[in-house]
Amino acid sequence: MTKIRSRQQVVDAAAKVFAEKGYDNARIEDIAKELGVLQGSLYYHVSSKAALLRLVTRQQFTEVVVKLEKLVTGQEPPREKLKKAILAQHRYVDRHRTASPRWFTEAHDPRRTEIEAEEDTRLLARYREAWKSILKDGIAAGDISPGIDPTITVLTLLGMCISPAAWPPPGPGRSPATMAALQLHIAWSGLAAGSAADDAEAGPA
Amino acid sequence: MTKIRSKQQLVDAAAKVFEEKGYAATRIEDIAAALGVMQGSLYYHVGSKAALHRLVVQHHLRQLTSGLEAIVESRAEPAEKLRLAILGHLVHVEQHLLEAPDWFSNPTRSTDITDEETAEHRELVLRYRAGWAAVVEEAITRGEIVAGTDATAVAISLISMCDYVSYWFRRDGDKRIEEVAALQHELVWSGIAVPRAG
Repeated sequence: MTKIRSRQQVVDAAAKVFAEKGYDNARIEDIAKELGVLQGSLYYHVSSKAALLRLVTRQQFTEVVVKLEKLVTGQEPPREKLKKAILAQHRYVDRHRTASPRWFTEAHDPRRTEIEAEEDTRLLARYREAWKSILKDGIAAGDISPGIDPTITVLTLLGMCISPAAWPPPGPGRSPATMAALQLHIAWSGLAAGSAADDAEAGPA
Repeated sequence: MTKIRSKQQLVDAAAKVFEEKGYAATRIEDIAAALGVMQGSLYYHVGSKAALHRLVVQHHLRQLTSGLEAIVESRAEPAEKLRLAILGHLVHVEQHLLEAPDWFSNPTRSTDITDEETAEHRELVLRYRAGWAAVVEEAITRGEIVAGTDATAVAISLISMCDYVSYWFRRDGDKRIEEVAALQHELVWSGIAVPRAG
């Protein structure tokens, strides 16, 4: 038996077990085993499996937001940033298809406390702001039409990427990369043949 | 006290109550009261609040699909069909804002769901998806969308776009649902990029 050195260690172990077994099938014992400690020691650090899920998911969501904020401040052209943002969102949804709470949707989740719901709302607002910055930079650079409504555009893009409609299984039946390339094309050049900008790189698959 | 004459009557009443109160706050008594029957008579027709809710979700999916299929079969141009499909979905969402986020969610999260119900929900979602794909296919056939475009992937993207509106749209927001629909149609049809010369 070893010792738990930090809360981060617990969160990492829980993330691993949830990812492998799914939240419903994961037992606290499995997480204790992953850490090489007794169940009792684990309860000293966290109160419940639900609390662990909360810590895991918030960390993952925060990572997604921080990553996008970094991308936004980078030097790449707006289209490239948009491409990466769409792909990252698809990969995220694909990886956390079963366990992720619905941060991106602001849906009511009875597992959350009010404070947690507020934290999620703030993170989601930051996330949407980061997307919006990409669009605004694109407008400033003359790449994106100044006539667009940035707020609605962000919500439209996010909606496509989150693909709740990917239910039923097996989901869209296409890889995250394929869906992302198609959606970048739709958003950037439009579906209409020969419309808008020439889109050499990512035509429809 | 009156009598329940058909399942549809039950579904309509439940849909109305869920819409007004939200699923979590609705009690089976509320639905019985709306129908003017005793709770017991209600349980004779449907096993639980969750099962009733699933019937309501299916009812909305059927409505969305029949609206879409009428658009598909109409004589409108493909771009116009796409506009009407987006508008149709969004208007239906706006009318049922509390309930709409459940329509395309995974129904198997509900613990007492039967395989038959899962299969029915799946079938309805796929049929709706096929309707959207048909609009895209027609546009491809007529050269309005580039040949080789993956119509089903486009359909999934567009349904997702419309579905997500149910999570963020507010009736007291600064845009009406028709304006949102018009902006979304413009976005997916023409894109956001500045057109290049030549």
